[in-house]
Amino acid sequence: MGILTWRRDAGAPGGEAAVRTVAFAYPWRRLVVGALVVVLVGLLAAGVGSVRIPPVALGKILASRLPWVNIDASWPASWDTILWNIRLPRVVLAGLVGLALAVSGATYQGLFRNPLADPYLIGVAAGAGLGATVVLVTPALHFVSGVNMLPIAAFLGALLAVTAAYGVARRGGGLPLTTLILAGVAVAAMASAVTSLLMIRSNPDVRPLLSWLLGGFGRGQWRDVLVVLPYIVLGFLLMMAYGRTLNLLQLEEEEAKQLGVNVERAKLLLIVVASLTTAAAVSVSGLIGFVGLIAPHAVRLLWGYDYRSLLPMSAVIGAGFLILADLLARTAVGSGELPVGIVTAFCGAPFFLYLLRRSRRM
Amino acid sequence: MGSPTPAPPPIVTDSNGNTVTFLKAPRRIVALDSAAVEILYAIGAGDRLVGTHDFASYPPEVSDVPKVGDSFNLNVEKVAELEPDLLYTMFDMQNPQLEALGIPVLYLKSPTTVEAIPERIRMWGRITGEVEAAEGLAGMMEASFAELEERLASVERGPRVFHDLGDFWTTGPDTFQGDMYRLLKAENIAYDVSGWAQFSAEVLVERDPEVVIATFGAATVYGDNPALAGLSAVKNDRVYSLDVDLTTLISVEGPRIVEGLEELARLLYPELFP
Repeated sequence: MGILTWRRDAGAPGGEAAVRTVAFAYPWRRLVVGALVVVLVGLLAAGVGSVRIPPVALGKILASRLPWVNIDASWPASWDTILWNIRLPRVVLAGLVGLALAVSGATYQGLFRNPLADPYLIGVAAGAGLGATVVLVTPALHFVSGVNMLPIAAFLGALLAVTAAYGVARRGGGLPLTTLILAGVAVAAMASAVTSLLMIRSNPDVRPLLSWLLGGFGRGQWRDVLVVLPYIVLGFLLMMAYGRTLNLLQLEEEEAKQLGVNVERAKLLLIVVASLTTAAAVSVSGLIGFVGLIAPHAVRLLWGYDYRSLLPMSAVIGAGFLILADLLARTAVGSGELPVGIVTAFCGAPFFLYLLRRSRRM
Repeated sequence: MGSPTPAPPPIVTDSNGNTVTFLKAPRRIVALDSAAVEILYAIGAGDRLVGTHDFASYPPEVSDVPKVGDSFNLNVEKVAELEPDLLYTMFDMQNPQLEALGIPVLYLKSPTTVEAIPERIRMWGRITGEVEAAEGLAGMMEASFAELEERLASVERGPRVFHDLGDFWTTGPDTFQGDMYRLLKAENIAYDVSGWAQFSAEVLVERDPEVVIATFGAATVYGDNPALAGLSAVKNDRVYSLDVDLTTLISVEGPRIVEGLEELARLLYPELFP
């Protein structure tokens, strides 16, 4: 079966659904190894940056944070700040966002039965972009009562867009998926248009806005990690719980219903959870593309199509990939920074083309 | 003998290398750049301005001048309607279209050094014929620069400064803002940046600026992000947030740059410029 047609054969018309019941062994080892690799990659990534800090000093700085260890600080205070308050939160944030985007992407691909689906499909990205743009072009809105409005506006914008698309697509008691995609496209187009209009008419420098839209972790702080952690972890666990359901949803909706899946509820819940998770991720990172699209495909190539393993392994690959992409983004240009979205596109696009070529030969 | 020999027509080389000859002083000018607008008014040629860009705000008289878009989004119909005999722009993509309509275009990129401004003023003087006024203004500016340099003579090395345009975007020494800091003897910590770039927070912490000059809206992050709490600028309360007017003063490459420089000097050297 090629990568573009992985729905299981539904059998003869009128016949029973041909889902083989195979004993499923949860891939614990794969998952644990994957998670450990991600942590290792994260630590290594935290050791590299625009400012050269020798590995020995890094080890000492990390060790000195342990409560029972007492090392005299022989390194400059700036190194401590750089490692703890700049690099580590960035790496953790990149891992979390990568995880969120990859799992949401895999969920959307399963839900819509479409290999081109990504977490931004029904308007999350465009809505978040609009929210962020409104704040960034209005200096008075940057901080309200000491609270940074940028992530809040991005989050709300994302949710509003998805709600609008959902509201348009809802029909009777059901939610036709094609209509939802089209509604999402329309809402996204509208939001993008308003965003572009605001950008062009704004007098302040447009660069900070552009770099937010292209995605980046340059502003990452521990506070951002704390704010998105509950959304992303909860979203991840919820989506994981629907692994088996997603497998069944690869059949036609009628057949899935016969197998006991409450299709409408599953659709609604998965859309809500995936959208919330993506919105949370986007609110702190901007619009980073390709992670949600590519990670699930890479996992399928390596480990197959079962969503019970696809979802967690996508999370692992997404997290690792984005940590490395962020590493490249902050070291590729001397003292400057590239938006992470550019790096993921550079890596993602060729990989996607490779996937397409491969699938044609299968 | 007879009438004095007329002066040769002024020739200007535009940013594409073409020479533009002004056989007649233009009387209907569309200027798509605030600096040019301010210069024209300052040398007494403001009444020749028949059109300008949407964001022109100084001097106050410019609010009565028709707006035609900006360099990147030009309303060509409006321009044609105004029947200008000169259009001045900083962006050349629409030049062929304008020239096809018979509108003479002068394309000049924005100056990247402060000393280039008096030269620009003299150029406009030659173009419009207001040579005396232009020379007077240019001379005054150069005298102001010299005075500034004199007051800074006692300074060997100014403070380390970071110019934040928002989200750590900053300017390198080869930009106009970068050149302003050079003139003020301040050490721009983005010395290895070419043009504009988003600065790495790590390098920012390592190079530890003593002063941060942030355009409006950008300064709040310095109180908000614990990673920046250790910066000398933050500890000594020398993070300065520029309001809209001040930002304009230091961004428009025109006659008011002298005020802009003095304001920056006041922020950088509070003891020398009370």
